[in-house]
Order: sequence, then structure tokens, then C-alpha cells
Amino acid sequence: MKLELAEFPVKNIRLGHRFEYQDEILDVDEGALLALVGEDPRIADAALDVAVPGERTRITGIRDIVEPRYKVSGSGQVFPGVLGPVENVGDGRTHRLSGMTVIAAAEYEGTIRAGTTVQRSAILDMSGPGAEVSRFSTSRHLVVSFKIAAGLGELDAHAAIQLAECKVARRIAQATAELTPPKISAYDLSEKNPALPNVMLVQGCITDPQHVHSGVGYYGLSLRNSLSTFVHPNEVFDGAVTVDTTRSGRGYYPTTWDWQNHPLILELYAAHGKSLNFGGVILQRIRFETSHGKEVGAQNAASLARAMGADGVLITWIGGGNAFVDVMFTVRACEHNGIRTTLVTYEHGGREGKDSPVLFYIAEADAIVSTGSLDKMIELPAMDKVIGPYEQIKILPFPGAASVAARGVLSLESRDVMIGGADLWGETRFRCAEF
Amino acid sequence: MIKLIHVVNQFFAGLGGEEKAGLPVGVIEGSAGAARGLAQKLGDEAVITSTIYFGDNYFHEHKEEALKKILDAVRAAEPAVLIAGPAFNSGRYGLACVEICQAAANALAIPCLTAMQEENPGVGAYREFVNARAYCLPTTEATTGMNDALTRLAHFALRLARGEDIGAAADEGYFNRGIRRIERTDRTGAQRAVEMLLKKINQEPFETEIPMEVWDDAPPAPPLAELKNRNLAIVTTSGVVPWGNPDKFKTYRNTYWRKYNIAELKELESGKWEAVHGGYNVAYMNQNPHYGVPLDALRALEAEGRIGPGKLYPAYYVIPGNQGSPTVMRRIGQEIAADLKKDNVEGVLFVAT
Repeated sequence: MKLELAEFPVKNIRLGHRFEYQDEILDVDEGALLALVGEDPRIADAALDVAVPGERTRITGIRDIVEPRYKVSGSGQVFPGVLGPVENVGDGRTHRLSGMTVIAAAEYEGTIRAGTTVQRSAILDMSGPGAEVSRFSTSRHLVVSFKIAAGLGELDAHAAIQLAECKVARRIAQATAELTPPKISAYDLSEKNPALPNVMLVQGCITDPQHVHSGVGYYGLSLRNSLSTFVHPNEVFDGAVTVDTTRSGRGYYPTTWDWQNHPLILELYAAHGKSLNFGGVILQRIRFETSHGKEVGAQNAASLARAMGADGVLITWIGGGNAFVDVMFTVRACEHNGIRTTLVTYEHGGREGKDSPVLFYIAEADAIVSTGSLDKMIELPAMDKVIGPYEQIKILPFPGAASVAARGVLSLESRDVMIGGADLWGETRFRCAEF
Repeated sequence: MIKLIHVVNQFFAGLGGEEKAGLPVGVIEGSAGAARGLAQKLGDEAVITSTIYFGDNYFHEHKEEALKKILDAVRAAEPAVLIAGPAFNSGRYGLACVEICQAAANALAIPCLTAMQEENPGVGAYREFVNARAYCLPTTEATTGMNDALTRLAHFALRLARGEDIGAAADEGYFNRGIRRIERTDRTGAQRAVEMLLKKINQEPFETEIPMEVWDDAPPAPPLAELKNRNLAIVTTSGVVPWGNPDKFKTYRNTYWRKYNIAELKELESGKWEAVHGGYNVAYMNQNPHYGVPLDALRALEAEGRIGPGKLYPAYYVIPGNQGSPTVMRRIGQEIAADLKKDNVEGVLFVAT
């Protein structure tokens, strides 16, 4: 399986009356895109905006972020199982618009008051201290704002948001379909150097089987009671793994963009054939409800890695709380199977950094990379412009929480209200060190 | 001109050895003894306005009084930075230096600096204090390293006095205090991860970025032989609270607990209670709050006579446990336990989620 990712950098987005990519300028047909989004009766009042790095702009109601991609050859189409039929993806050529994203910003109140299923939305500042923290502040964004029709349950709301963002992302990338790409990167794992160690990525995914959407979509299907599963990284690049858009609007959950640009997959690919053989990705369900479940889930991931000949694995995760126990058990199970591990995780540590950085420890976890702390306070200044559906936002989604003016000064006690507020998988250069 | 204070023991103040270890706290104008060497290293930018001394034994035998006198002298001098030591391998002296730094940093909100050998018990105390304003530099075991220690103390003290940013312990050379802060490195987390894993596979040395901690074990209390005559209470981390969340709990990382009255209730009626918790699907709990606060079952046990009349505590204790910070949850556990003890509760039904 060989995938060529053809990169079309975008330095400017213009809203107009046609789709065209030329000289790194993307023209989008505003009316056509709004009509595309408006095909869905679950969506109302759609609008388009462009956000530019450095502007005093705050985007509200962010549900997900997608990188525009379009397959020009190979089987299937991007976001299989979401936009089109379930066809294997990951080979051929896929065009991508780099330096820009599509942001889905939706007004939706949800039917669930608290808990893991509660809908969340995030903000993004394009300048100031919030921008310094988020990996998304340096890209241009085509923001699709809309309202979800009243009375819609969480799963329907998610489906509407995801369909809208994926359709828009694919449609605007399609503007490059006939063009010659300025840069192509090839991704192919078929050749292995027997002198190098075999390394895989174990990607723990908090999935809640009792939820309407478990949180991780595989070819559009929400992963529920799955045991560990092998995924070719090229499938991930083509959008075979997606998110629950009503719950991904928080800083320590990945967006679809993060899956498409998974930094650990990209880094393992960069080392492939040079210092290691990249053996692919194991998607592992974590947050089993019982200790027994956690042990089995961990052992199962380690067994799969061993069967695939892994000498070492990078282990990382999505989630919080007791899902970290599953992650640590997986570290232990791999080490006990003779597979060396390095864990990549964000940490807590409290406001002053004096508290425990993580919630669970095992002796075998002797190699951990820190991607920074979620718990650090941040003060955001007032912004000149607000894009997105909300003029008033709730900083925290608990019942009875007060809402505040989205435009004004915001005092955040943790960074998860900002999209990209926490680094999940080592995309950035942040870490915590001991002082 | 930057004003500094130097605190030393009787020996380094030049007042005598072990035979003078009982000397009370005293103040000498300007620099004296070892402080003279420090003054030379400071150059023209700073001056040591006074040297405070104490007898090694006096300090530990009259700690409260000694600290008060030292703090009074420091307060009067209004220094930019307090320097104590260096203490090398002297345990009594090292502990005193760290305690003085801790007290002055807290009471006067000034940066404090000391230095000693890594095995000095003072370093252990320094690490336990976790004081963001106190720094301790390493020295040699013996005073042969005095010149080097004073040079580094002077340099570090000037940086503190100027209000410069002090970086991570490993980069700056002070003993780390276990305070974790965000910094920006030269490589991404993904790059560092691949590099660390390859070193580990190739059996080369590597350094983890999050050291493991060893947590305390809490041995469970012995079981109650019978329940009938025992005072019992419900404690839960389920986050079940009266509908509307009157105490504004967050769905995660809460810092306080509450108790809610159930004295007159036979059961928790659906719609009057709700779960505020970010770590599980609360729909089922909201339908039936007894999953978190099993009052129905306990009332049934009362009716059967297995729990004595009036033995169930009239309120239940709650905090949403999701992502609880370990130190906060330890404090909350202690507070709830103290409250239970005060009311002579002997057994607790602990409902986690």
C-alpha cells in the first residue's frame, strides 16, 4: 500500500463565486458551499468566514477541525464510511490543502446535562496568549458556522456536523484535482530493513460503549467493544479514523485534523528505513470499566504488537481519568512481552505544578515524554471580532455554569476550553520540566 | 544598589566552633566571616547590608524563637534576596538554612537561596517544602569547595535580585523542587519520543521526562464485626447532588466536598437529584440516583433491623471524583474522615463510580 500525499499550500482564502486554486490562493464558491451544507435539513443558518493568524479574532462553538483532502487516485474516497461507501483507502494519491483547515462551529445545546457524553465546544484565538498555546492558531481557517435544528439528539447532531465539515473539506480540496502538485510525499511501509528494530504505534482510544457515539470512528463506525485492531497509517491519512464531533470541542481530545496529521505516525514514517522499521498502528480501546477489562485490553494490545514482530512501541492515548490505568497496564504488558515502550502523554500537576503529573504509576513506565500540562491557568484578552455561533459562551459545561461574553477577557483555569490547548501526541515543542 | 542579607551559623560568622553552638541569633552590620568572601563575589552591583548568625544548636533547640528573630532582622533590612549558607555536609546547618529560606520566602515573599551537598538532610527538607521562591545549589562535601560555592551563590543571587527568569533545575543547576512547569524545547514531543524509544531499544542511556512517583498505601481499617449498633454513613465520589447543582460543582477536578441531608428521606426520587461528573455517562445515574447513593437499600436494611434505628448518618458526603488531583483528594479524604470521626461514625459505605 503506497500513498502519495500531494501538498497544495494555501496562503490566502477568498470567499467568492468559484472554486479555484492558483498561486497558493484558494477561491471558494460561497453560495455553492452554503448550498452543500444546507442540503441537510438538520442544519440551519449556515455562514462562512475566514480567520487569519495574527488577527484579533476569537472563534466560538468549535466542534471539530478538518484538513481539506481529496483523493485523485486509488480506491475509495477521503472519509470513507462518512461521505461515501466503506471502501479501503490508503493507496493512490490524495491531494491536501496545507496551512489551512475547515472549522465546524455549531450552535447546539444537547440533551445531556453532564457526564462524558455532554456536548462540548471550544474556542480558538488567532492572536495573543491563547494563540501561542494552540497549534491551530498558525493556520488559516475556513469557518463553517451553523445551528443544529432544535430537539436533535447527540448522535444526529454529530452526524450532521461531521457530514457538513467533511463535504466542505473534500469539495474545496477538489479544486486542485486537475493540478500538478508542487510537492509530493510518498508513504509506503512495504520495504523493511532487517537490521533495524520494528516499531509500532499503540494508540489508546477512550471509547465509551454505552454512549451513542463511542468517540472514535473507524470507517465511520463508532468503535465500541472492540479489542485492539491494526490500522495502516495510510488509512489514517485518508480519514478512515474520525471523531465524535459533539464531544471533540475540548483541548485534550483530538480533532479529525489531528488524526489526518498524527504527529507520531508522521515521525515514525520519517524514521522508517533510517533508524527503524515502522510497523503500523494498533488502535486500542481503553477505559474498560473493570480492572479485569483493563488487564485484558492491555494484554491484547501487547499480544497483537508481539505477533506483528514489534521490538518497541510508542504508546499514546486519548482521554482522561481512569483510562490512564489502561494505558499504564499496556506499558506493563508490552514490557513483560519483551517490547520496549515509550509513553507520550500530557500531564496534570495542578495550577502550580506541585501535584502529581499523572494519575497512575507503574514501575515499568520508565520512558515517558511529556507534552505539557493541562492545568495551567491562562488569561485571554478581549478580541475585536468573534466568528462562530456563540456571542455568549460557557467556560465549563457543568449544570448551572454561568455564561460570559465570548468577546471579552476570559480567565481559564485549564486549557481544555481552547481547541489545541493541550498537546496530545507530541505535535508541539511544549513539555513540562522540573523546576 | 541591590541589598542582600547573608545568614550563617556561628562558625562561618567567625565566632567559634562547636563550643559556641549555643549562641543565640545576632546581627552584624555589613559582611562578616564567610559573608566577606560572598561580598567580594558580588562586585559593585550588590551589597550585603547585614550578616545574621545563629548557633547551630541554639537554632534547633529554640526554633520558633530563632526563626522569629531572624525574620524580624530580615524584615528590617528589606533585602532583595536572602542567602543562607553554604552548609556543605553539615546536617544541622543545612537544615537550618533550608528552614530559614522556607520561613523568609513565605513570610516576606522574597527569593531565598542556599547551597549544600546533595546528601545533606537539608536537601530532603527543601524538596519536601516545594517552595517556588526557595532555591538550593549543590556544593562539595567539604569546605574546600567554598570559593566555587560562593561564586555560584553570588551569581545566582544577582539573577534572582534582578528578577530574571530561572529555567528548569537541570539547566540551571539547582536541586529540583518537584515543581513542574511548561517549557518549550528545541524538538517536538514526537521527535523526542522516537529518539527515546530507539535509545531504550538500543540499550543506550535515556532520561524520562516524567519520573515515577511512589504513593502512600492506606491500610484499610479492620472490618466491623456487626452493623446493627454501628453509626454508618455514605460517602460517594459519584457526584450525585440535588438537581440544579446548588454548590456549583464542576464535572472534574473539584476542590471541595459537601454533605446533603437525607434524614427524612426514604429514597432519592428521580428528577430531584442529578450527577455532576465528567467521567461517566450520567444518564443512568440521573434516572436512578441510588446507583451513587443507595439510600433505598440502606432503608430496607433498617426495616429489616440489620442497621439500627437512627444509626444511618443524616447526610451523605459527596464530591465528583473525576480527574481528582491526588493532593486535593487526599486533603478532602482527611477532611471528610475528620468530620465523620467528630460525629462518631464507625463505618462508611464508599460508593465510587
